[in-house]
Amino acid sequence: MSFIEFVDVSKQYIMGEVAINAVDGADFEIEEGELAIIVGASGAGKTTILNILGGMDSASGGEVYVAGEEITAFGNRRLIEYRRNQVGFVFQFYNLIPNLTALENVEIATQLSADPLSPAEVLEQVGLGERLHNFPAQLSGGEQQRVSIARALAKNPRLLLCDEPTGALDDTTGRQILQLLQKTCRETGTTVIIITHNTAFEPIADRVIHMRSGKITEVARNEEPKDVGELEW
Amino acid sequence: MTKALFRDTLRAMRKTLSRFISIVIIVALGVGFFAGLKAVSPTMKAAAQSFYKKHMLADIVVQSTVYFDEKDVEAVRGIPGVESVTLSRSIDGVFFKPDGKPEQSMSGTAYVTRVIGYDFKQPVGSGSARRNQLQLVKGRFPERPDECVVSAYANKMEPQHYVIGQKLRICGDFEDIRDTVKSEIYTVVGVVYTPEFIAMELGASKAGGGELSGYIYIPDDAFVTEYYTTMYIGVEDASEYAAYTAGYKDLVRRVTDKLEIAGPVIAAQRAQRMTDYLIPLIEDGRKELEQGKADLEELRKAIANYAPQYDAGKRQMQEAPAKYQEQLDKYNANKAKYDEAYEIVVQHPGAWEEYQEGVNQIERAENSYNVASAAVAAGKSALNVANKALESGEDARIKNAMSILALYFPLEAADQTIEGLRARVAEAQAQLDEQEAALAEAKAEINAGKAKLAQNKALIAQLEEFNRASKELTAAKAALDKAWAEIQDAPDKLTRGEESIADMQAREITAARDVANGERKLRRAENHLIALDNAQWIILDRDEFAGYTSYGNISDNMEQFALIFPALFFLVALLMTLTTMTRMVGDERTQLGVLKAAGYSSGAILFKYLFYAFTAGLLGCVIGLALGFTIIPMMIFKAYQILYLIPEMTPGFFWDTAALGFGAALGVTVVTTVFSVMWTLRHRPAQLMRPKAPKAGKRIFLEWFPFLWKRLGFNGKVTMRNLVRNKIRFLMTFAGILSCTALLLTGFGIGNSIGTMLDKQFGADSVMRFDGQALLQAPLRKAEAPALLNKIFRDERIASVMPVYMKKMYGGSPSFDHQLDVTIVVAQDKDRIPDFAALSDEKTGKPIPLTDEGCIIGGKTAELLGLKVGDTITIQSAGPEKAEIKVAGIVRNYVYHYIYMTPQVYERGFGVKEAAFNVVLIRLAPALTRLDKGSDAEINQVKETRTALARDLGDTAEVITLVYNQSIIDNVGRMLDIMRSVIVVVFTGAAGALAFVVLYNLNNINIYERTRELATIKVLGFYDGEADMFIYRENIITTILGIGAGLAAGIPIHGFVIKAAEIESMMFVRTLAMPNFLASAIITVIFAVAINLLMHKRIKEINMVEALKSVE
Repeated sequence: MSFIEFVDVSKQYIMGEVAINAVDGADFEIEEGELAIIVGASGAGKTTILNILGGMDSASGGEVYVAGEEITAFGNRRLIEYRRNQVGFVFQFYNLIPNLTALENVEIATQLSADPLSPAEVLEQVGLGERLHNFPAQLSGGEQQRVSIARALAKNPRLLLCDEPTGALDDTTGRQILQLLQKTCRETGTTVIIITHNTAFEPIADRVIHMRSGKITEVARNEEPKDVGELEW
Repeated sequence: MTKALFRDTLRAMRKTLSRFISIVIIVALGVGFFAGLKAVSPTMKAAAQSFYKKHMLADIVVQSTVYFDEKDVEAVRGIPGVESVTLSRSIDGVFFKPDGKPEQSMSGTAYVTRVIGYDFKQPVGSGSARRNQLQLVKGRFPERPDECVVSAYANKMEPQHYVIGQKLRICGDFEDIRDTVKSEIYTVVGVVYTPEFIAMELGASKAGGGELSGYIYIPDDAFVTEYYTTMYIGVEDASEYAAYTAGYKDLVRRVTDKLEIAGPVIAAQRAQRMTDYLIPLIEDGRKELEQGKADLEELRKAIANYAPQYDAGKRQMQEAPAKYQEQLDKYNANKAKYDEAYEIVVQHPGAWEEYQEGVNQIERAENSYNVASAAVAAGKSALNVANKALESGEDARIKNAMSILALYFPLEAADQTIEGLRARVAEAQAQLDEQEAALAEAKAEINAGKAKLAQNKALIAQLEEFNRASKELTAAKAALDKAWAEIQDAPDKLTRGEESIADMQAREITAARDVANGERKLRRAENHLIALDNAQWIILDRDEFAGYTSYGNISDNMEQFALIFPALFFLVALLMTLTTMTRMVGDERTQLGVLKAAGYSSGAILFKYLFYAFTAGLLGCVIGLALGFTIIPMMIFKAYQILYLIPEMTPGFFWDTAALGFGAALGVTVVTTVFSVMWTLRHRPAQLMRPKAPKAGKRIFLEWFPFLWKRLGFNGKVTMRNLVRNKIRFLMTFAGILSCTALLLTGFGIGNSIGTMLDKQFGADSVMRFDGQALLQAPLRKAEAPALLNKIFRDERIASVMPVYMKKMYGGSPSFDHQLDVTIVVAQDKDRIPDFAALSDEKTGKPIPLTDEGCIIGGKTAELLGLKVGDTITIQSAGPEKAEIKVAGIVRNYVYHYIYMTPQVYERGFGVKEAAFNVVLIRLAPALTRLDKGSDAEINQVKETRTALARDLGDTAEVITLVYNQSIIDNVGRMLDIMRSVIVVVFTGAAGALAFVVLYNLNNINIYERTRELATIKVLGFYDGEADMFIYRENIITTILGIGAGLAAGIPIHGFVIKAAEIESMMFVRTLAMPNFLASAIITVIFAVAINLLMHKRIKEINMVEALKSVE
């Protein structure tokens, strides 16, 4: 069994009298330690997949297995525990707590986790060793996203979910972030899933899942993923 | 404003409805309380004014030591400025209960009722000259001299006395009320409104304990007196000025000044007329009194005489059974004899008759014998005469002898010769012999009868015995019957005896009282006559009407609140508008940029927010004014209707207050809006269109103390930084909580202040240590005191007693604008006063001794009159007594104004030769003092014993009635409870509303602003509780700080409010109790928790997906 398995997962939103199928019979697998990219245009349903996988939203049908457990069967509390211990999130807009310093923003996560890494060390790893005590407002976008990644990583999660992590960043910075994510995946064996509309990222992933209109159109494996540095877009 | 912009504004309102409503509510609260409390005074005064106007309340009241008559009216009418003059007469009497005991007043003295004359037939209305007109509420006006109408207020408050159909008995105070009015008993036929008495406290009276407790109106012609006691004056144009205004006071004062000048002259003229009237009256009175004294003496003698008689009767009754026994024995003995004799009589039937026959026969025979023997004797002497004549042979003698013989013997006629005579003598001799033979025969017959009788003598004796026994038995029976009747009769006779003694004794008491009254009356009349030399007027303004001034004062008091409440609410409103508008502008920052870029001027853009704020402020204002002008004055008016009789109030609209409220409300909302919008608009459009940089986190002061900061933990750090970051919001929450707690503390504190006041005054270990007052029938002189106390008050139920002179009077000082109702207490024994009244220093509680230096007054008395130790207080009664006394001490006292002094101070101050006491203060035996401890049965036992003691004392001739302090506690307590609940409800309600509006709105904004943060931490894996705490922790800290500050702020606010709420006759307990603090804190916490629980739902509903959305 793969680390992540989606079995005929669907999600319907009822908008008034119209039912919208955000995800329609999604079937795919991701192995542990892979860097997977879910790619598709806006509204293709990739965020819904992420929400369901992250335990933030429930599926209307089908089953989702993570590490052999069916998370779609979890109750609210088990879902929180799942998010707490197994999942790290990287948001498009970083979502740092403005009132906390970089270090504290990482600490907020490590506090929750059963087996956290040292916040300072993780920040060091992401290249922010000098800026531990800066507030988000004192950091650039890329730096903020790094703090966000550090926050996710410090929990020592098995699964790192990234929602358009470069969406609010310029190219260079975005590239650095992607590099960081790839490095994390390779060095720590964390399963990293990146959601993006940017097909240019595809080469760096171990696995690429294409979506369109709520359906999985293609699941491709890159046997030889490229380094981010080789990427051009 | 363009149409699009307008629509956009409306939409904004709808979208942020809860915020909009919050502003409306807080503005409404602020404006409402401000307008409402400001409106209380003018609205209440207007209600009073319309009531006074309707009833034509007099402007000036004149009383005179020499009373008034119609001539005075003419004189006064001539004074410029006087519009109308009305005379009125009244008499104060003691009110009696149906059981014949005097009723008691609320403060425990005899219940004095004023009987006021009123001409029910005269025209009324504004055209009438009559002042103080009555207006019928129900029933009808009196038509007969023994009918009356009562006040609607009394009808409501004392239904046990003043209802239609009730018969009221009002007796004179040491005088026969029928000297003044035609009847002693009045039937209530109607209920009226009267402007003369609008308060519960009716003022002073010369009768009873000096306190007036009730009043009735009777037809004026029911008075038999020819003078009037009071003159009511209407001042020209006075009705054009509202009561209580300076203009009114000035106008009236001008006329009063003229009266002051004219008064002595008019009074002196009246005094002359009065002298002519009084002198014969006094003469009659003196005679009557002499007669009364004589009658009393006689009655006492009769009682003394009757006593031995009664004792004899009693003895007789005790002896009657023995006497009866004696008679019964006698009868029985006789009966035995009789029975014996009867036996014999029965054995010899006819014997008695035979015997009787024999006795008759003998009698008859004896009669014949006697006749015959007399005839024989006469015949013999006649024969002797004849024989002598024969011997002499003289013709004359023969002739004589012949005629004598013819008298005794029937003889044949013969010659008057000697032969003839001889023949006749022989004839006579023969007849005589015949007669003698018959005589002998009769004699024999008698003897034969006697011999026969003698044969039955024994039997006859027995028969005679029977006859006698029979007679004796009859007599014995009669005697026995008589003795029996006596036994039967004796108890009745004794009862009659007892009754007549009791009757005589009762008559003696009445007569003694009458004599005492008569003496008093005479003394009074004589004093009056003396006073005529010093005839004077007492000129008063409306202050004289019970409640007029205090009503004005209490309505003014409410205005004090008009500052506190609204200030708090406006402060909160300001902060809230600021937060809301800042938030709103922040939300629409981009839109602002777009509009600005599109060429709208700052003004046009500002207009939208101004419109929003203005609409909210205006709406709040309108709601606040509408509710404030109606509900608050009405509520306060309704509460005060317990104390004042002003039948109705119409809410008013006050432009000045409304304008101030509008100004403040719109100022607050508009200014804050302009400020927050302009702050944002100062940026250029491009800047605005970019998302606003999240507010930078900052190091806070605390972080410079690492040893503290490190300990805080991560959550603590966030909380502290958040608090500092959002200073306005923090301040606002803080202010909201502070206000809430302070208001609650004030409310509970007032409850405490009012609630514990009576206990501190009358309860255990309180100011008043005595348990009751016995009102004496007659003033008690010092010399008489020990005897009376021994006679009446030596009782195991009484622990100790002290005679005092207690009298309701008026207290005044130069700095006080009207008269204060005070009660003077002249204590017989100054050293024992602490046993009956704790005279202790207000602050330290140290005892203050009562000395001959001066009087001791209560703290509130001193405060009102502006007196300090060493100042002089003016005390005067409703009568002529007046004194100026030095204040020697100021003590703790809560209810009424008591002025304590020694007899020496009293005598010196009032110029009285010797103080006499009218009340005996009583401390009960310890077992009878507690009414709150023990089982129900024990309490009832104590109550019964107390009632029995009151009855026993009241039954004596010396005591009118015994009143327990408990009854004051019950009466006053009821009134205070109402007042307390109104105030507590107002404060708690206001506090709750404030807390809710502020906290709800604030938390709402807080959560709204931090939605992203909350969504993020949820994604990170915060449990629900942890997410809540992320918000709550700030609230908890703010709440704790707010409560602490609120408790601190509540203390002075309570102090201020309690002083404003106080009524003249009471000083509330001005301190707060621990439970007040606890309750305020706990309730604030409950409010906060309730709102946080509401917020929990909001937090829970936050969708984690929000975290993924882009920043707007």
